Amino acid sequence: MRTFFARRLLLMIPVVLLVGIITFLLIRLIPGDPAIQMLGLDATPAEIEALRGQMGLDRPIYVQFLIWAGRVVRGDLGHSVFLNQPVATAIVEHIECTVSLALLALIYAVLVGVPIGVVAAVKQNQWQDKAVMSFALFGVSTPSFWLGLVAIFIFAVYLDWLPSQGYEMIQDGLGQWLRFITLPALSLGVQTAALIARMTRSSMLEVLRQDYIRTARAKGLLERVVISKHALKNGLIPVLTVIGMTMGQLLGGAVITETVFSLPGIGQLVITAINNRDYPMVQGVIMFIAVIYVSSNLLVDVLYGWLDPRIKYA
Amino acid sequence: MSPSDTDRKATQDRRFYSVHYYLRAISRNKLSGIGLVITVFVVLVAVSAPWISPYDPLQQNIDHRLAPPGRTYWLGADGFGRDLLSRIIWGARLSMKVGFMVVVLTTLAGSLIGLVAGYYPKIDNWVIMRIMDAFMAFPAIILALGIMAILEPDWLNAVIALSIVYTPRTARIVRGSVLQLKETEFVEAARALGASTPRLLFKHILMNSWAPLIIQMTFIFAYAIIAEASLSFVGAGTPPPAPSWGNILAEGREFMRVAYWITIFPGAAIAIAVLGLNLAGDGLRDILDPRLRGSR
Repeated sequence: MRTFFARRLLLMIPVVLLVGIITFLLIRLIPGDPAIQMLGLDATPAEIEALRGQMGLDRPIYVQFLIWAGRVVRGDLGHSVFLNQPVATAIVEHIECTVSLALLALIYAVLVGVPIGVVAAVKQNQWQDKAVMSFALFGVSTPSFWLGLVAIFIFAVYLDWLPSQGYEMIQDGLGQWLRFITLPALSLGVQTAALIARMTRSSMLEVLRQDYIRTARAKGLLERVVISKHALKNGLIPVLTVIGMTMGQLLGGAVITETVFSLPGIGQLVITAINNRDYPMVQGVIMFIAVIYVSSNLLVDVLYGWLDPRIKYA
Repeated sequence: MSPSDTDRKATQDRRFYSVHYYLRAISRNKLSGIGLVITVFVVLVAVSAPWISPYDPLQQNIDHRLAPPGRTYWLGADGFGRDLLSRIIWGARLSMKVGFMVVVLTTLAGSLIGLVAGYYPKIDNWVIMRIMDAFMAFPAIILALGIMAILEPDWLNAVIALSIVYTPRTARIVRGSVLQLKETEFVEAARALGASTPRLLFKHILMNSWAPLIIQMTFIFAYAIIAEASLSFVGAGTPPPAPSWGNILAEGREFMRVAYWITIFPGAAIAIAVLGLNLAGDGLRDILDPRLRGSR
């Protein structure tokens, strides 16, 4: 187990390195001089020269990369020209909102997706199954940002139950936080809930056909016990894969959902940065999200092995 | 094996390769039949936009600003008094155009990369798939946003960005097929007969891995539609005034309290188009690859 974890961690290094190279090259591919692009046409030559020096644009490209990579490893993601603050600081200030949005969406998705997936499998081909599968199909076909807009329309404009925009930090009170984050998290979570429901259903159907389930039934156990104790444990393992796969979707979706609900998260940060040509910020945020994504996949892999002892760590 | 068995086997094999057979199988399956009908409908709307849209999608009419759905404007008018139905129809044209181009580009690039990676494992392990892995380490929409940050917001640039984002996914699927197929007897036989490597790759291997590829194409089409709408919604895709489902929704957000139609209808259009593709894709997968039934 420990060696498996160590090996997975080591394998992450080349991926993160390549992610870094791609992120770095993205900004270097800007047509023309990035310094002029960032400062605009009315900048004085002295200002441009100063920024070129600050960004290290006057050196060969591999030196620039090494300097940049060296800083990133030490947690220095550069300086935002537009906000006039370190990129890392800006990310730390905005990360809470994005992570709580993505995590709460995942929690909602699991709480909804797993039970309805189990019901669909147990009641295969009956109306419950058809209802769940229709929901799942609807869920994977509807863009989450539109669901967010519709949710605002119903719950904020029409019913006036929840606020349509803004955010309160979790440390300022759980109730307030939930009031602001619930609609965004629900609309972001629907797609993941749909995927989890589909996966739970198909994996439960598989498990319910196994011999040990027949044995459990033959022993005279209640169907409820067979499902919840014997089948669910193994049926849920593939669901973890879906959770790992959708972490990227959730993080990316969170960025768009934040725009819908005007939440002060990483999404707002990166979209403002794109509009202002604040390249160090764009670079920093993208790198940061990719590293979170890669790490969360590592976590899922490790959990997977921990839950299913049949998986060899070779 | 008796002669009649051989005949039946041959017939089955022929059926396996006939497009007509699959089209019939899809239309027999109720859900995928519906999906196919929806997709054809959306494509027809997109193609015939210049003839069927009741108004010019850019024609402003301030007198009819935010006019509700009714006789004159079937789906209402937007904040500039432009006909929403016409904008949605032209938006369909844009979405289909983007989706189609992304599918073509990712299939071409992904097949080529996947073929090389699968056939030359040495290059593969060290270079190609590691780079593909790195591209897939970015959440799709984040990478697309990053690429759009350096390109100007524009629909063609969105095509480029989304093609870069989805190519590694296609490459991985083609590579998987190649790894399986290159050990098969018929490829071995073709090689023994002196077929050149390109001929082996394109004629024998690629032509036999089209089943997973075509399933992937329908899903990429669906992803591309949602991704283009998302990019345009946050202002990094198709810029206004050109109608895109995403930027119509972004404009409608300001008027949600007074004009629900600008928020409801374009989103419904996205959902319908994507639903059609997903249904068709699910059906195709059930027919072409029964092992995967019910997953995803």
